[in-house]
Amino acid sequence: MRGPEPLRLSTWLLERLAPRHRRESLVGDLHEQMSRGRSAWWYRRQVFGTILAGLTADVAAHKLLAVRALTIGWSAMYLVNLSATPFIEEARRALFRQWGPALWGESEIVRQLWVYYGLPFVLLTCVVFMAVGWMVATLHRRHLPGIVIVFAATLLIPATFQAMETRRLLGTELWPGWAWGSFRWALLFHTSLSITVYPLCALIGGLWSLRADDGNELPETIS
Amino acid sequence: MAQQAFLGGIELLVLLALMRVGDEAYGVQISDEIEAIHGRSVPVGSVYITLARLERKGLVSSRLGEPTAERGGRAKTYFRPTAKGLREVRLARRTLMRLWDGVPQLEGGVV
Repeated sequence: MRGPEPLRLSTWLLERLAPRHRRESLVGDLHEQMSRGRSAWWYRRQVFGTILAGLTADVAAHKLLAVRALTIGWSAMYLVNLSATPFIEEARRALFRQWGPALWGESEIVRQLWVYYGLPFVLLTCVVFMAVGWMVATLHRRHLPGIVIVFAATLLIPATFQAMETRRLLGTELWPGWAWGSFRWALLFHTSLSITVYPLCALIGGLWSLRADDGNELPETIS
Repeated sequence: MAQQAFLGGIELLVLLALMRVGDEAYGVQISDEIEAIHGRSVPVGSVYITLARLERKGLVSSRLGEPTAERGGRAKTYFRPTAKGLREVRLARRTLMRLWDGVPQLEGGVV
């Protein structure tokens, strides 16, 4: 006998990332307040505060598990990179030589997307990030739903270095001008992917794995 | 030997708010009570995390209510302090009052 859900995305996130203990009651409390006239802003603020509080409590209570989750996630990323890079390079060359020209034909835009922006490989990378996020969440589902956010956040560390390097390269004026398809745009494109899309993919993959359950068991995530 | 349940700042705040609300207290009410008295809002999630900790320490007990349509079919959890919880609050009060009395900067009343 569930009524209409307020703010679907916020509720979806809450049902997966709120502290497990009494989660059902917590979501019900917020739902009740919304139906009694609280604003959407109040609801979102509660959802954000609740997720943040749960995440902090989870990581503080399970520091070793958090380290294990990050080690597993980063090792997986490293292994995928190590094993897939030669294959991807080979595939890139083969695709470029054999099927590339046939694919983009006369279209300069498709050619640019293919050659400079490496779009097929961007999509492949997204899938890899989602798979790793899913794996991290699946292995720590019982204890740390919030660890997915921590893992996704750590992806921003190398992305920050990449952004700094991009800034330095763009400042050298090695590639003057901002013509469409120039190396400058490709560099910015890939850096922005590392900062936004790839961590987001890891997050989505992780959230996909987390179930919305009632979480009424004893508070294992709390100490 | 039973473990001494030492009350932290947020724990004492939640426990006192719970006592003020009464026997049929639940998460949002406790959060609202803290906001009304303290002037600062505490996310309901933080209140639930603290209540879980208090429950583990045996200072609070809970019971599940009936699911209602207003809550999207979700049950309400009611909390109440246990006898041990009441003792700990009294102890915390005594300790704080003694500490208070010995602070020269607070002589002449707290503003």
